[in-house]
Amino acid sequence: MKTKILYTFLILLFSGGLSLSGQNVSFEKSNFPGKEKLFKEVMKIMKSADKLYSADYPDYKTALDLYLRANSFNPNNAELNFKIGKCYFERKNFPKATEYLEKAKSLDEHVDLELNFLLAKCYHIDYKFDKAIDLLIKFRQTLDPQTIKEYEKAIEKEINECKTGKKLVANPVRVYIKNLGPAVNTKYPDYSSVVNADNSILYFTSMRPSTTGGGIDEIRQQYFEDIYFTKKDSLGNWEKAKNPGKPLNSDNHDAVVGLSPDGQQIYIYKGETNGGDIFTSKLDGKVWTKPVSLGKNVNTAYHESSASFSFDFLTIYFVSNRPDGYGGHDIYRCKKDEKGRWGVAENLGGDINTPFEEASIFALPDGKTFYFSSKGHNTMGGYDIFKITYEDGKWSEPQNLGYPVNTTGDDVFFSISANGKYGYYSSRTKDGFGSLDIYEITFLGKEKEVVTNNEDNLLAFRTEGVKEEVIEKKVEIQDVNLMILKGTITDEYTKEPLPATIELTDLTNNKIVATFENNKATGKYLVSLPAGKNYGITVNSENCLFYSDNVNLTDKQGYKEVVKDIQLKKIAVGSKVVLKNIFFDSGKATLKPESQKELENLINILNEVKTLKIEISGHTDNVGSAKFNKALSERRAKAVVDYLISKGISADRLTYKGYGFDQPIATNDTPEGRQQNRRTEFKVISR
Amino acid sequence: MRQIFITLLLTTIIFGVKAQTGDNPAEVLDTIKTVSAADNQKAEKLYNQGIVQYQQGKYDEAVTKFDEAIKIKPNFAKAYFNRATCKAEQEKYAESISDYNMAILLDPAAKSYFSRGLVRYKMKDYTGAETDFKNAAASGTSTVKAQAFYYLGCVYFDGKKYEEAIKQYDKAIEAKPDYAYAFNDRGSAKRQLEKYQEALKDYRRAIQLNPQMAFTFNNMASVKKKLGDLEGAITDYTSAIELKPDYYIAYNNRGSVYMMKKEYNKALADFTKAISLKPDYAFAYNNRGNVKYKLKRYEDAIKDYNEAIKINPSYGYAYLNRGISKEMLRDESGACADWKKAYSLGIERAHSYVKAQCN
Repeated sequence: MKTKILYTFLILLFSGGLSLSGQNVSFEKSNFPGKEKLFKEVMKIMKSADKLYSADYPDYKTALDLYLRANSFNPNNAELNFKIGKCYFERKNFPKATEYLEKAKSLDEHVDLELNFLLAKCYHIDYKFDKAIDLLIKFRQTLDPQTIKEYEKAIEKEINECKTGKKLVANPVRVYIKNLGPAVNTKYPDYSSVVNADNSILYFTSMRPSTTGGGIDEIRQQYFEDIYFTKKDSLGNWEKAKNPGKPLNSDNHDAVVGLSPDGQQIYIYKGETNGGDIFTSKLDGKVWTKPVSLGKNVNTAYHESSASFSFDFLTIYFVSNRPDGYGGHDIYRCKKDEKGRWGVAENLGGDINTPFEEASIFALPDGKTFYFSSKGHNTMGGYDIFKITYEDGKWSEPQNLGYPVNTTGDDVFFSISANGKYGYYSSRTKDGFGSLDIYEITFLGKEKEVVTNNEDNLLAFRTEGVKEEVIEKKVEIQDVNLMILKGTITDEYTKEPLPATIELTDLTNNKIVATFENNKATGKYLVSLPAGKNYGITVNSENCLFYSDNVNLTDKQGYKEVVKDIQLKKIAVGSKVVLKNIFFDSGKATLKPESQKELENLINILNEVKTLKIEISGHTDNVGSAKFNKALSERRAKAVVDYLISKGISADRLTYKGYGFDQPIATNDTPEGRQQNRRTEFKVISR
Repeated sequence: MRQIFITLLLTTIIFGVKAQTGDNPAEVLDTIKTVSAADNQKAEKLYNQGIVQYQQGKYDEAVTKFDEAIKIKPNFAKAYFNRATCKAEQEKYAESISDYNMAILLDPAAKSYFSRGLVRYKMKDYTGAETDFKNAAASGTSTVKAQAFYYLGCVYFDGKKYEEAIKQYDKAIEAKPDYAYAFNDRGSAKRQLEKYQEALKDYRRAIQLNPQMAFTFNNMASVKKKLGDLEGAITDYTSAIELKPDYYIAYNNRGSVYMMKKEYNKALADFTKAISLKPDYAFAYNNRGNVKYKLKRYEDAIKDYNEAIKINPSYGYAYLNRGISKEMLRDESGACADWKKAYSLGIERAHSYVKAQCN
């Protein structure tokens, strides 16, 4: 039973240990078997490093080097990783700081109270605002009521800065930011730039090896500040920066503070005296005069840095950390009296100054606009540059210049050219030359809107190109189915014109359609025969045998003009008339009703001339046998005679005969000819 | 004696026969008229042939036929009318008008006024067109009336008299309730008066009557764009394109809406399509340049603006836009030159840029 418990306990211990994502390897001899000698050395190194790390004025640089050596021996110690991370953080190498702090966290998230706080700051600086805020909240939760008091304000400020950062990054200002390039910037801090009014000369401060005297500030672990300048060349590029040397520069800190618009007067900070004071120097031809202090009211035992003059040079604005301010460095103002001496310094007040650091001030020549840097107000991290105006005795609300002008790091020393087009400031960015660099900002202003152009097809007819053009329709050609029958009526023998009447009969109903007369003098006649009827035409003249004709227009044949000269025969023995309007059923001897008119003509003439004796003869074409044709023609002739007799004509006046095809009057080779041959005639036998 | 008697008898009979007239004297007259008609139908035949030629699109030949017809029959109103139509097809507008004048003189029909009105309209004789359309509307059949009112509306529309135009379209619709074109154009007139909802109503009605009118979909979409209904606009432009796959105007319009929605790749595609359909469509080049500007591809944007300007050297907005891209490339002198040019071409806002930034 006991062993069971023991084993369970051991197993839990082991599994508990193994389940950790990273194993925190403590610096214990037992963890490094076989490396006792090296271990001893490393412990010594770490001890030295710890001393530097925990000193009143920590030397993070050296400590870092030592820690890194220890780290290569044992990279998996949470505390070591934390310390390295912190060193990097203090040295402002935030990517590295993040790396080591995260490693430390993965090994032991409770390795140091400040772990999450530092890590959150790293995220903040890297623009990972949400991550930072989450971690800050988490950090706060881990604090006990006592410690919370210490960190409360700082945590809140961090969170606010992150929130501000989010907002500003979401609405970037339209600027064009250009690094001034290797002619000006180096891997060392380059900052505090001022330009003259026409933007042709630039003065700035740098902590680089070419500093006058070449010395290093032990406390800041940097080369002493020196003043440098650069001019624009003919192409508009900044030339390689030059050191103006003494008397502007000294072996100690010499920094640019302000420049007069014409570039002939410079205000510099000299660290040598009095904790740091502001001096002024004039450009006498090509040489700077010996710098002169601005006096007691401006300069105190405290640290005075950045200064800017009003456009009329009667007021100086400067930064000082004298104790009567709001906290840290504040911005003050001194006015020149009639005697040319600087009056008492006034703090610009709580609208500008905050409990946090204010670091630089620049007055625009317009007399009311100022740019300053502050770690307070709504900075998004470190110092941010703000714009403020002073009108009617009142300061406006400080306005953060926005992202990407301001960053999560320190953005300081803003100055602007007189025409307001170009601003200069210092910032530390990933793609700089290292440390602080000087940048030129071009304010692009509100985005200019590009204009798109469109069109529509508002009117339908124009779009579709519709043809409304109308054409008048075709005219009905009156398909004239008409025959004009015209000619001259003459006497057969004398050839003289004969007066005659022309009778038109509709043979289908035996109705007389019309009766015309010809011209007596000329004998000319003209009859119009509209289509659609079967006409019988009878021409009568005095003392003549009638002339008959048939025009069948029952099928439309269009328009025809037919000239037919008619010769009338006097009633004389032997005169023959073709009865063109006698019709028989095909192959038979039955008279068709259309024959009515013609038969009436016959009756009329027989009645007119009572003594007339006639012979009716039948004729055929040559189709069929002679016998057949003869018989048929005879029967047909007889039919006519029978009809006449039935109408009261005495039989002794009538004879009939069938001639078959013996007496053709036209050729039998054509249908028209054959039609002509098929006829009934009457001949005058006697009068 | 007997002979005298016979002669007398015959004469009597003949006179008697003579006295007989046909049953239908009218028909007699008719035939005479018919005979004369038959004689002169040559003109009509030529006229009909002319119509056949016209229908085959052979306008020269058609005109010849009508010429001949008119030579034979100088009062042949229909021949003048048709010849006028042919001349209009041949864009010989002055001659067309003169023929219509003749046709109207001979036969002042609503149709003739209408047709002459159309040609006058083409010749931008708005006053003349107005008069003719009014005449046609007054006397024509409901079809002619509807058309006359419609074109009258269009004349007013062109003259920017939108209220008047609407009144005419109203009448056109009254005469022809399914006049899809009239609904479309009335919608456009209302749009010009910024009565957007009413415009949409008319456009919808037009589509109901004729769902094939791609341009109406386009017009609807543009109104929706103005109302901020971007989704609706895209839907309708798309419909327009579906109906008319080569509708470069609609592609260009749809691209602009995509731009407003910041869907830049879709906008790019549409402008590119418009260009491929109509390689000299300066608008599409300009607009595509704008998209590239938004995508921060300033050099590419400038290339497109260059094209637009090449096509139309007086394209003020292209200069304006190109200047903006040049500014982003820090080519201040180039930007200023472009803005000065844009201002000289009438683009007011370029002046403020020049004043602010250029010396």
